[in-house]
Amino acid sequence: MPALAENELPLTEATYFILLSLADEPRHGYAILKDVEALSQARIVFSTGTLYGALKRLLDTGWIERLDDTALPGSEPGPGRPRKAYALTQLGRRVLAAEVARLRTLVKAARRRLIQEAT
Amino acid sequence: MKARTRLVLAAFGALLRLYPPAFRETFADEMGQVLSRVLSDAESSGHWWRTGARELGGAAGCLVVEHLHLCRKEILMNTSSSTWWGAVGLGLAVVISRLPVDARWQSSLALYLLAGAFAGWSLSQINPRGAHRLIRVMAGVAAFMAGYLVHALRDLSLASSVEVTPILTLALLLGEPLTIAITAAALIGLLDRDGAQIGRLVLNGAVGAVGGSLIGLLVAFAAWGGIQAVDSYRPGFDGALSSWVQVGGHVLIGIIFPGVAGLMAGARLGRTEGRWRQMHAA
Repeated sequence: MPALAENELPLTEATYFILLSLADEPRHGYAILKDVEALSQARIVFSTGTLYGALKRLLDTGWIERLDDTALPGSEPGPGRPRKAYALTQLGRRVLAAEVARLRTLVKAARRRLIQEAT
Repeated sequence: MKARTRLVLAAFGALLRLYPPAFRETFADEMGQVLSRVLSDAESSGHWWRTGARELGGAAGCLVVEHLHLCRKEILMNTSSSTWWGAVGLGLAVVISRLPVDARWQSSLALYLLAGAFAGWSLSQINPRGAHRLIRVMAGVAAFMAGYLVHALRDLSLASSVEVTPILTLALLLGEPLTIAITAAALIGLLDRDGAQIGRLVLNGAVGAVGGSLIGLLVAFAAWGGIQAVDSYRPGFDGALSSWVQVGGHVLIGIIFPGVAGLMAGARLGRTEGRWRQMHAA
């Protein structure tokens, strides 16, 4: 794992869930909002302001990118300005993978200790 | 669309107008669309009030956070070490001028000259060039000499038979650091009349200068024996209002005003340096 991604850990819960939400496909702001709520089992409910503040920070760090949704598969151009969607970049994907690996290590350590105590 | 939803959208729109321009231009349309959908969902789910409050609270909180992020970014990107040292130096200079001295006017004068030279040297760090540098040193000395004049007048008034009320005491105590701050800012302003990005520069100066002043205060008191300085208040302290005002005045001039003076000067330092760097970049 590149050192660059590991230096950014641990992620905040909000950042983690946004990256996770974008892991399978690019999404619009509203879709991210709903997906994060579902993924976190309603533990994280963004307001519009906090969501876009977080998205801006992720754009600044280069972990996500902003796309016209006309560039997305299956979308049709509509009237007015094109809607925007957000997608994980390669760097964002590496950071997310590093965070998942970190969490896995933590859980593994806890499991080892708890099993030891039980036996 | 219900009236209450329109009201929240209008309030949200008003808050959006206060966001940093770059943020607004990039995200405002999208945020408006997302909010409309969120509120329309809330109408059908029956959680409208909770959602409305969360959205407006979130927008207000994010507004503050975005401005703070912007300031932090600007400071990190645009502040070089000479700005920091200039601000810290000026803070220290104000503190030096406040060191307790004995009644002999020569000691006071020497202290003010030292502080003025130190302030001038700090200013000269920004643009270390021949004549310009000398002018800045002189500006620093002049500002502190103005402060010394008020200091001397204060002593004169206190020695005379004028009845010293708490308000007069406070006014006399505040006059000197205020004079230094205003004179320093005015003189530095004369050296640099280019007015751009004042907000950023004030903040820029504030962080370095207040920090510098506080550090300076600690250093100064450690060097001069802070214990003696504190002890000198004890014998005459009777808990009366006038005594509290006197102690409060010393706290103000020892801590707060060095910070304010440094802030004003630090802002100017940042501005001067920004222009100088722009000139050289061009």
